Amino acid sequence: MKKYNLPLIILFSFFMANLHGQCENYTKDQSIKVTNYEMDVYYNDIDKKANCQQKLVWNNFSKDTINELRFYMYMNAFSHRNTTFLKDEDSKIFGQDLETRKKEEWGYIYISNAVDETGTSLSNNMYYDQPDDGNELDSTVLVIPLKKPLLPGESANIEIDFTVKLPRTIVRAGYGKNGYALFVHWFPQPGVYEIDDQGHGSWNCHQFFRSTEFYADFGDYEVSINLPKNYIIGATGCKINEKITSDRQKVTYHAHDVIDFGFVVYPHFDKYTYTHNQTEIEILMPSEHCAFAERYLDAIEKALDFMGDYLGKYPYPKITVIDPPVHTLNSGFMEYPMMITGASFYGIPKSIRTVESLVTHEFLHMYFMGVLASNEKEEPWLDEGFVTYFEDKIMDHYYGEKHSIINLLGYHSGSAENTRIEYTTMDDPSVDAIATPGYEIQGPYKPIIYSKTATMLKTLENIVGEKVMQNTLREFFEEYKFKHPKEKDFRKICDKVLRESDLDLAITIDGFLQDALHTKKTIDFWVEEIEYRNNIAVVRCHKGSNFKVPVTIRVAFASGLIKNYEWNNNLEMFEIIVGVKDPIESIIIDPKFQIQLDLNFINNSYIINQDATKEKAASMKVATFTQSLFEFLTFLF
Amino acid sequence: MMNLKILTSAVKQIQSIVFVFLVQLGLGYIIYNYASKYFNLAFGKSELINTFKNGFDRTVFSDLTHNTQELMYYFGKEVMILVVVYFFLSIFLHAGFIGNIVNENTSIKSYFKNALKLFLPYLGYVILFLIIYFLITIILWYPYTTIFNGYPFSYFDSEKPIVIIGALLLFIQFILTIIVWGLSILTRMTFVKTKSFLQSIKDGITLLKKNILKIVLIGIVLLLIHIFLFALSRWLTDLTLTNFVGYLVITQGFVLLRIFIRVLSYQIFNDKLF
Repeated sequence: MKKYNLPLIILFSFFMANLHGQCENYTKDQSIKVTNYEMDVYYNDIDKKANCQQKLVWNNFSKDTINELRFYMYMNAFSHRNTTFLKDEDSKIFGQDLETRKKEEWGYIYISNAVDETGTSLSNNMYYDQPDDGNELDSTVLVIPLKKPLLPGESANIEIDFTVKLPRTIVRAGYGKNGYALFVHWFPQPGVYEIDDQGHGSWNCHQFFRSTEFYADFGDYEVSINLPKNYIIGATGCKINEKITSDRQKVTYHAHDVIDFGFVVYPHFDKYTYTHNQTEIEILMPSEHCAFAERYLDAIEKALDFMGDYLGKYPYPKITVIDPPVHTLNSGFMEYPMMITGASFYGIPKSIRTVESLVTHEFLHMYFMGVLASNEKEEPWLDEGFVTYFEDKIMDHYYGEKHSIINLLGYHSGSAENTRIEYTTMDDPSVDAIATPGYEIQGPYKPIIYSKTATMLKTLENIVGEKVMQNTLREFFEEYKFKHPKEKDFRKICDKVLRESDLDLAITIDGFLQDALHTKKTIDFWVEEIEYRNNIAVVRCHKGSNFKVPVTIRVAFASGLIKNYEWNNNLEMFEIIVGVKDPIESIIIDPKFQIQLDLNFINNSYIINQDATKEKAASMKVATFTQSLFEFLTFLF
Repeated sequence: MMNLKILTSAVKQIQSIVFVFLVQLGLGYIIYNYASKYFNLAFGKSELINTFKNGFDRTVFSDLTHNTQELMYYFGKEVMILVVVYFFLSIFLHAGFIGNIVNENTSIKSYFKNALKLFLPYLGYVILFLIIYFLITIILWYPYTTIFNGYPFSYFDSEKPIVIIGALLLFIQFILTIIVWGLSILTRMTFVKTKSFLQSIKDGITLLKKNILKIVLIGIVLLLIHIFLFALSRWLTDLTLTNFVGYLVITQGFVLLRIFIRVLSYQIFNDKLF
């Protein structure tokens, strides 16, 4: 692992960042820009309000005439206890009691005026809609009817005056102590006008739910933020201008080809900047976390390198990493275009790499969400699942397969193995199919959407091979970057790449993906006791369901002969019949543990004459450990 | 400095030491049998027992524990019974040692006689010190744990004091543990002569003040043996027949050493008692 001299890095990186201005030289036209924004923000840090003016250009690239625009007004999710976001939550979320929350601690977004390019007011007819759950107390989707229908190819130019009042942070957006404030989902943002396979267009603009956030069109942002002079700012995009008066500052950011814009302000951030392969890495953290700056840098560099080689170059000039102070730790763990929030805690040793894995995870969202801008609300697995898969790959690649997350006092665990275990140890692993919309998930969200998906992708990789998997994902990325890919697009690419190498495998994998994504089936291979009759031995291998997944069964015989049987169909049982002249010594289903979705690896094998010393050795360790433990615990006696 | 007389006196307790060692060995054997039965049922004919015995593997550990919860519950109950038995047995075994040392007896017969005589009062002491120990622990940690209950993080400017206070409390807990342990030994020892519960506690506190450094030192040595045995089981990843025997000899050798160190400590304190 590289070692850095941190003070030198800081000095050097300040110098480099100022000298080259990396944000100057990068491609600014990578996407089809449906929505472009100019926003002026005046932030009052006393009452936590921002008065804003927004100039919005929405381009109608569809063949439909548009009569209304639909906007996300997600800050209203924090306006009271009964919003769709909060109503089903326990009264305590991140330890805060929502029932006893003070009035001034709630937040909102309010449009005081909206006019079109002719100056005609649009605000008189606007109304809130609840397309998902009909909760009339939810104001997270706003409909603005247009005075003049928007024809195909035309643009709507709308000016909106709005006020954002930040909530005391419940989760993500909001304010904390000492001036900390995170502005995310803070402005009126149009949803996506989608055209389906039949050519019908409609708005896709869901209410704000607890687990899913992003689905928006690409565009350019120019955002000017006016705030007290003593604040440090981190934001999506690049700083292009800065004006300082006696007590205030006005900082302007540009961001191109992004689906959202967020920013953070705090007077007590230390700022670290560094350049790695033409990407500016900016880290903002409270001073007591300075020991983590090096770890953040290292993790981001590794992720940049790995993804650059594996999938494609990071397409933005900059990434800003926010490390929230402890009092607003609940604003961490998130991703926004070109800006992520991590989380660290003073004293976490280097042998526990939760800091690295988290920042790697959030950075990977720049690819899955940021560039491959799938609909996280309807297909969250395309976002969180792929990110978790790559997080595991990167962590295990750089830090060791079974040691990448924790390697402390003989206890160790790897990223991919943790992910699999999070899925396999669920109370009910069959509670939801992977391809379930985020707002319809019945079971725990993370084990299904993150872990089951990543484990499925790891299984897929093991079946098709690393190279084919890389080709598939690379082609998927190239084909759909700066677009809104869906499941069918991923499967289409999978099928195409696989057919080029192996037609049968392509058909099998299509069945595998269908079962994995759309059914609640689980896999648990096990070997039944061998049945001997006449001169034959019958081995029955079970799968626990009719999940279509190709697997190898390895049978070893007393003569030393080893035979592999391929079980490629979707039957629940596979029968092997052999003669007894050469007795079976062992049967192992999936000897290389390729099928990571298997709920239990222990019962995959059947050794006829199990070596008893192994059991004794394990028991011996347990016995001496317990013996010592008993003695230790009874020290008072 | 420890003199030869103390060492010789401790060695003279060899019969009792061997007896206690055999009890510990028996306990180990019972646990070994439980573990053996559990592994036999849990792994069945699986090849993964090989991975397991070679060292810690989180995947195997997780698959094993998650899929054998009923078995673990069954054996957990058995082990809990063993814990209760060991609780009483431990009081009995140390009562024999202390009685023998304070009364300057050395035979196994007197060991049992002393153990029987002192068992009930010592049970009272143990309960008392357990209560004291848990009360101290609760008083020490309760205010700290409230930081994690609710949303008090939002009131802190930095987590640094929380971590430093936590480390400090751990250190205080360690010192208090050794003090309570020392007090528990010294009061039980003085009880043999004074026969008075209150007087023995009073004398115990006086002696504790005089011997605090020795107590801390012995406590650390015993702790280091525990840590060494734990580390040994982590280091030794591939158990063959040869190192299986070696491992058995080393671990049980240290069990014996641990018993001897405790006898030696009783002897050291006895020398200062009256």
